[in-house]
Amino acid sequence: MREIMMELSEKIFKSLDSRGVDEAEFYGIWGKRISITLSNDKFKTISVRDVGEYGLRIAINKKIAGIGSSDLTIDPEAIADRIVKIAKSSPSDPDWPGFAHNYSRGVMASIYDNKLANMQIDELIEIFSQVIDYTKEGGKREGAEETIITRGTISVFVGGLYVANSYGENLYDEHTSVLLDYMVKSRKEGEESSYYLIYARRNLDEEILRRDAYRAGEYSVKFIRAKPIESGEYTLILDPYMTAEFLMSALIPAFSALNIQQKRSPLADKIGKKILSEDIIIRDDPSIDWGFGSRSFDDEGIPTRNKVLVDKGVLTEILYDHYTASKDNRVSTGNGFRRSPSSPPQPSPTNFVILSSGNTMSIEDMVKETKKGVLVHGLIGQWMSNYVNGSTQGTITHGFYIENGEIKHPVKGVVIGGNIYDWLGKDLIAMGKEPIQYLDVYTPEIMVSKTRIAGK
Amino acid sequence: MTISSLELAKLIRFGEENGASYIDLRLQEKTYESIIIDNGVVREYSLDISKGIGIRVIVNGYEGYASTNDLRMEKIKEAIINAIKSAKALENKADKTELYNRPVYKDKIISHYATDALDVDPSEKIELLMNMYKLAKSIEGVVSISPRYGYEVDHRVFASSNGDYIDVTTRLIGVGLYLVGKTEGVTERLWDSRSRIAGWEYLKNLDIEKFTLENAKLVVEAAKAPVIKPGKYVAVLDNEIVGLMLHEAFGHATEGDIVEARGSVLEGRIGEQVASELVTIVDDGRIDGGYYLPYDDEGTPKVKVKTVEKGILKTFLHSLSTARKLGGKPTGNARCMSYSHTLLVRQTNTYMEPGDWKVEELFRETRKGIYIKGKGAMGGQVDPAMGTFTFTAGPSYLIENGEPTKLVRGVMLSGMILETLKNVDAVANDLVVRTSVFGGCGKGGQLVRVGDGGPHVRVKEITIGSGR
Repeated sequence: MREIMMELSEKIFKSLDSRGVDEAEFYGIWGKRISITLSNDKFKTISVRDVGEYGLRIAINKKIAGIGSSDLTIDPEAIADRIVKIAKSSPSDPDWPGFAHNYSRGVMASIYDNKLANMQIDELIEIFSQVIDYTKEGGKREGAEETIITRGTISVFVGGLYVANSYGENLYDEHTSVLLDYMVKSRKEGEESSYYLIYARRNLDEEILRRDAYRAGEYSVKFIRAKPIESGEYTLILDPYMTAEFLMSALIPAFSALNIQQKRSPLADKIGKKILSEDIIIRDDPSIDWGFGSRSFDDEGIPTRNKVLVDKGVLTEILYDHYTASKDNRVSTGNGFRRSPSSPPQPSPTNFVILSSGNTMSIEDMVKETKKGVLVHGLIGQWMSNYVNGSTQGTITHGFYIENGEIKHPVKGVVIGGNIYDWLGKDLIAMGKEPIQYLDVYTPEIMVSKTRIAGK
Repeated sequence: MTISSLELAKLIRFGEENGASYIDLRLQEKTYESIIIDNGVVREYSLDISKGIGIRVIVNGYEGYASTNDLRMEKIKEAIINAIKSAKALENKADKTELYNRPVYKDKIISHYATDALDVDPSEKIELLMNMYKLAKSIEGVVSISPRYGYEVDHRVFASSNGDYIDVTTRLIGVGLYLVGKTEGVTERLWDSRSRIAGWEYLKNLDIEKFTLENAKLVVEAAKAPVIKPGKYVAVLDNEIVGLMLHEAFGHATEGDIVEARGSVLEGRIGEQVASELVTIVDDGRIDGGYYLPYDDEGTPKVKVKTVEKGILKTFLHSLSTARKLGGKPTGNARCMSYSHTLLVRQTNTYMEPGDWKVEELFRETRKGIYIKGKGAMGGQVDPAMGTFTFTAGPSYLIENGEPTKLVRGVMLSGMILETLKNVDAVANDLVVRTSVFGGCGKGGQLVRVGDGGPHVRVKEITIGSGR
């Protein structure tokens, strides 16, 4: 596929050159994905997806346009005509710095797993069956009379990424991934409850997979007879997965230089200032082996590097792509990533890692230290939290009510609300020691005081 | 389309010759035009053109899929072989798929439009958004303005070994506005959009000034407003938010594939009272203002279905396989995000039928509560197995002495599927249904266009919380 993309990009660049285009950038992705779905505890379908697509962006007198396509046999002259027409109709952008130059690779990490890349359908069925068995074991251990997987999918993916510009530079990389998600339902003493498992990595780490699958089975039983609690203020303990969910919606986009420049982030003018508790360190780390966000170059061909974003609570760096960096007279941090092949890159993290530099506490000790609180293992709607002002909100589907250091009963159907800068600032009581990977976020559990809950 | 009906017929025969007892092909060509202005600068002008074919086969009762965007005949044949191999790999390891035996359909439909927006000069579209930017900028306290334009032409051809041939082209157009307001150090955001099945004429006739100024003033007001005190409230829901609530609180749990998987709390409840008798819920692919879906991605006509009638659960939403499995009739709800995705049971336009209350009576008879507004709502989510749903609203108003009074922000609602709709105690006689070219409904990693709406509705008890 690399050769096809290279050939196509060169043909298009040539057509653009003859039309007076100043510069152009080509971004191609391809991938083959095998997926198995499951319904009511039985395998249901298998699908094989084989798709390649690309995006083209051009600039003429600081007028920019983009086209994305999946047509690999496209007429280069036709696509050139179309994109030039769009660019010429656009007003020029006075801040346009040109496309990125000097392509190279930065930090390296393992992102290509041979085993995944060559996986056959029968092997994948076998792995899926084993994972399900771990989950059922977990359910059984908690006393379930029946544990089933209601709906779920496992997919393995192998693909590549090709970036090139009209200055003759290009970079290519290949990666693999595995994504597993399913809903587990258990029945015990005539009552039912469920839990959702998600596993996403660039390799198949059987130990982690077994741990997560087993836990999903246990958790599918633990929330039987969950009920709302009274409205009021509670101590909040978020497990690492739920902490990651809130970070993704309420905090991470605020580090984007684009959001800062466009006045959509509370972190404007905060470099060198304290924004979070002095116990907190945040890193953007593209070098983690098998990390979901690990990359050696970004979508603009710029090398990636490790960076500290928050050091002991103080904001030290923000995330830049080439455009936003140039606007601030800086160089890109290698964080330009695209929403789709035709869209402009915008700053976002690679792997976002949050750690405690102070004392840490285990989740068991957090529970012991809680007088009146909730421990949260499942939420819905948390993605609607607001990075513009840090406001956090979500509805608990899987929680435990804690009283005087002891778990009393499972909780669901109550709304938690607060603000991420308070949760990781003045209201932070403790953090766990070990960050757990969840998609491209690595975080331990957190314990927060005085969180508002709307319940009964 | 790049592949003729004759070639599709040949491919179907190729599938049958290689062992498929049933095969369908989904050919799609979709163009999406997007413009984003960020504080007066064109941040993005892009055109996405995707084209490809999806294949589903049934071999000895097992279901396999494959897809490719390489439309050379030998490559499509390779994909058909992949689909057949996938189905065979499931032999004796999986649940069999049987399809409901319905009549064969042949049809060609193009949704209504006057001017294809792709033929309109790009500068005209940019001018429209720039005008929105200037209008919003005139309102003090608005600190970030991002107007957006979206237009899609989605052409889908469905052909099956049963003889179906359905060719549908849908055009959906809209504008949106993402705003940030700041007052006395407090920041708030607001997203609102207007979309319609139409061409460029829709935006030419839309009152852009009213839409922009209303939202710009609201975001600044919202930044000044306090967050709501958490607790239980009597709530009057407006047309937009009632649709969102029905979609989340009920719609998903009626989707046949979730029921078949035993993942819905509504399993086994057909004929039961699941909502107040004032509640009738409709799923309709042709309602004015909503998304247009005359046929689903299995070539089945999308029929208007009442999933709940006067509070009684009447039917689930079905594909051909869930109808067969669960003993219902196909409702035309089998949908895919694109040619490369597999079929799921999805809602189309979900709305509540109007009742007989006048809107002003609803307020007059509500002495104390909250008026929940959809403008600026971010969306919702449900856990259909736990029975919990949630959604956020836009800036909303407290109701005091029968009137909406003070603005409050950051409203998040939550409830239980089997309880909340039983608490509906008044339904007004108005009806608004809307769709959006900027978003849709997500399920199993697939986003599809949907619509929702309803009349103004009162719920006598709902849980409300908020961030700060």
